[in-house]
Amino acid sequence: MARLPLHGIRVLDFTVVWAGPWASMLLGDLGAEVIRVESINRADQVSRGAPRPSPTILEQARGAYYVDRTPGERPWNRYGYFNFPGRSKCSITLDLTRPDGLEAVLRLAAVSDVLLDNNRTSTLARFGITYEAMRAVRPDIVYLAMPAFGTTGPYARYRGFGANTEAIVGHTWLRGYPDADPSMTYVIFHADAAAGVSAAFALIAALHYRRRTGVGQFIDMSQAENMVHHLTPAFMDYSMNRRSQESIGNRHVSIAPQGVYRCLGEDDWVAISVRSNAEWHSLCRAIGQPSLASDPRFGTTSNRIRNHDELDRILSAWAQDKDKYAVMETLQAAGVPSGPVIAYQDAHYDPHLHARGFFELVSEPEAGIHLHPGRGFRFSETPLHVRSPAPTLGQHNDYLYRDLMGYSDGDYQRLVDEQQIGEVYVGAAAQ
Amino acid sequence: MPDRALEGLKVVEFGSFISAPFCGKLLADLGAEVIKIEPPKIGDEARRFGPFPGDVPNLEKSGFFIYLNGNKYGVTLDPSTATGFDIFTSLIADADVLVENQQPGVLKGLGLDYDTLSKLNPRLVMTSVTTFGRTGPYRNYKGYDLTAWQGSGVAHRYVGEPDREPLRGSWYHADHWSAVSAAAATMIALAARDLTGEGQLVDISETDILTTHIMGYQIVTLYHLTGEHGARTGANAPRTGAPVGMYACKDGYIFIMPLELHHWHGLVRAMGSPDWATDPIFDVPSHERVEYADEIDELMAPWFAERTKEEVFAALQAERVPCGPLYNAGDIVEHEHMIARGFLAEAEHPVLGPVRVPGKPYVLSETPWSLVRSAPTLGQHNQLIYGGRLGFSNVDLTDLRRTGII
Repeated sequence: MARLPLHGIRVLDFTVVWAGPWASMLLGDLGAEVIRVESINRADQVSRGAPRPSPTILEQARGAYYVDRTPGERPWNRYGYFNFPGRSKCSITLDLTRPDGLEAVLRLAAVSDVLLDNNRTSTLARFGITYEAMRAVRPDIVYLAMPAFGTTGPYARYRGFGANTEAIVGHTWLRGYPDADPSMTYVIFHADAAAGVSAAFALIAALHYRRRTGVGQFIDMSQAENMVHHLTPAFMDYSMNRRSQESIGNRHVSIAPQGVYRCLGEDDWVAISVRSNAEWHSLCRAIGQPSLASDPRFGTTSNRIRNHDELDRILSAWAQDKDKYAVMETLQAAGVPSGPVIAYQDAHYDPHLHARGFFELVSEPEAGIHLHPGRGFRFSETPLHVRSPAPTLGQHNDYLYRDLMGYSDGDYQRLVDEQQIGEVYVGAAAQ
Repeated sequence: MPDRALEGLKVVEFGSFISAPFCGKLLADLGAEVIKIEPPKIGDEARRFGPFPGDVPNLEKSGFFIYLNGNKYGVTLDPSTATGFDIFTSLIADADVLVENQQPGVLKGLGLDYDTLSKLNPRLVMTSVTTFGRTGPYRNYKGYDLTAWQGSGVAHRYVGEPDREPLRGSWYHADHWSAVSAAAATMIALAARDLTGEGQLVDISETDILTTHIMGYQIVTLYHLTGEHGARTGANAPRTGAPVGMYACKDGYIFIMPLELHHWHGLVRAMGSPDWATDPIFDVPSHERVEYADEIDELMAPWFAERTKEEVFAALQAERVPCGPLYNAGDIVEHEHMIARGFLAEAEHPVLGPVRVPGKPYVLSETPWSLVRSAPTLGQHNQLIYGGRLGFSNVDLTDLRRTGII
């Protein structure tokens, strides 16, 4: 079998929540050996769930992250929020509050290529884990830190989840119905995964440089700044015109019609986006109203923008008694950009995604067999697959301590006896 | 030693709007040489999209285009002509990467599909970004940012009120996400090439990208695990934690997320530990505090209402409470933290002069990000690339221009 692109790269993964684990999942799928460093004392509860979830948690939305809403003996190994991005990784447990913990980190760093961290600035430093300390044992290490707002500047030590960074860089402001107050907008948590993808890019670029020069480096990434790019037109409008844009819903400032229209079904919709006069003429024919193509109210893009309410009425009336997939087929046959609004149970059955081999079956040791989404990019010569299911807590302790780091039987046993190594959180019941 | 991470990498970009151009920019920003090919006279479609200074359309003044195309060389070319085809293949013969986002079928029609180009240059990595990808039943369908966004499940699940239409995100998420993914995938294919010596085709589907990255968690964590599914619940959704959400300050809003118990303690301290907040009934995990959510909101409201969003932000962050004010574009362009970090960059544009643009989202300590040249004017580097690189004479270039080939 062909070697995967990141074959031979070892990643020390100190990440939490979503953004960081997402980046390390991509690296793991690509062939890197990702070692997820986990505290034996304190569960990262956003990722692994509460070690002993209360009945309230199990009833609420978060309870659905446990397979069949059943936490089992070791709930942290049955938590989907961990198990999805946990794939293609190993797990080691340690206790950073004791000297043995840092010792193990240094021994791991000495044989690693990348260290990945998305904790708040200073969290790892408290335990002696810094770029300087890691570089001392591994001079060419690539160390990426991506706290919410970066490691420098006035907010360097501030905390934020994806929902907070979205608000800070203007996305929340621009996402909503034009007739509603900005405070009525919705959180979509996409800043996290966006940061994960960018971090993977920056890391692979740094590894590219290291292959040519032997030089590693420190990468300081701000999750908030990473989302500013997505906002280019609004940013540039203020930059050039000192104008702060407001939300216009599904419409577009420069093309029309663009919108989401109700179809047959309980909550079924279709998205339509017309970029040119030619596409507009095709749309008129496709909906059986060819005379609209010569209607002066809609003859140019600016007229269509001006009369968008009327266009919305026409398209809504046409779509309302049709199946959303049928609408796509009709419009695509005429060359009009369109597609159904997908509910996530639709994605699960989507014929296109399945034909592309998007989903993979993954069998997890304590959580059963489930479909996982792939990774969005496809290589003609280097096909990628989920390499292994998410590790159970401490699953690879034996391999990592004994085989990789060369701990003696005696040293290993001492760490086990002192509860620095294990597969169950120390004091799990109390967390 | 090269001083930039991707120095020496040669990239040809044959695309328009966002996905391929932003991918090209991400590579160019780290030092790759990116030659951007635009259709003669009309140029990249992004040139016709605003914002424009004073709202006056001008191919050379689109802020949108200027941002997306910094650090590149720009040439014009019509590869549907015989000479244009030859020039295109000459550029490819020497390139490491081709990034493209042409509509399905266009490259094949031009005789410039991957099979042809890879015979010419077996080391070529060709990165192709389309709405639905290059395989599967929808491969020839046309799409746009909105259709990819709405086709990923994110809008139906999260964005909007239950009885109203699912909403798009703020501007172009599908295109930007796909561009970043395409840049990462391009680097991965180059890493694979270091192992095998061979290039390959990288197929990026915007719909796959959003389905994986944004909705992946929901698909796996809910539907696959429990068979449950849900749709957007709107601004007044049942809450799973309290207090969590948007709170009104004197001059705007702040979004707070004190999910862990120590965050709640921090919030209480920030508010000056009022008697009501220190009641032990609230000293429980966030999901159990939901029972008193409305009561807590009401009790908290005055403290927020008496302060500006900046004051609340600073006070809560001092107590380690995750939160962020609701900012608009103006707040960001003038943002003190991003200015202090050097995130905001000034592009010196040949037509517009200095323009502030978003800069580096990641700072590489040894190989700095830099904006070394602003976006090209249409055909700005024809002389440099065709004359200097491919050896065309001035007479040839005049001819190529006259016949509309460049």
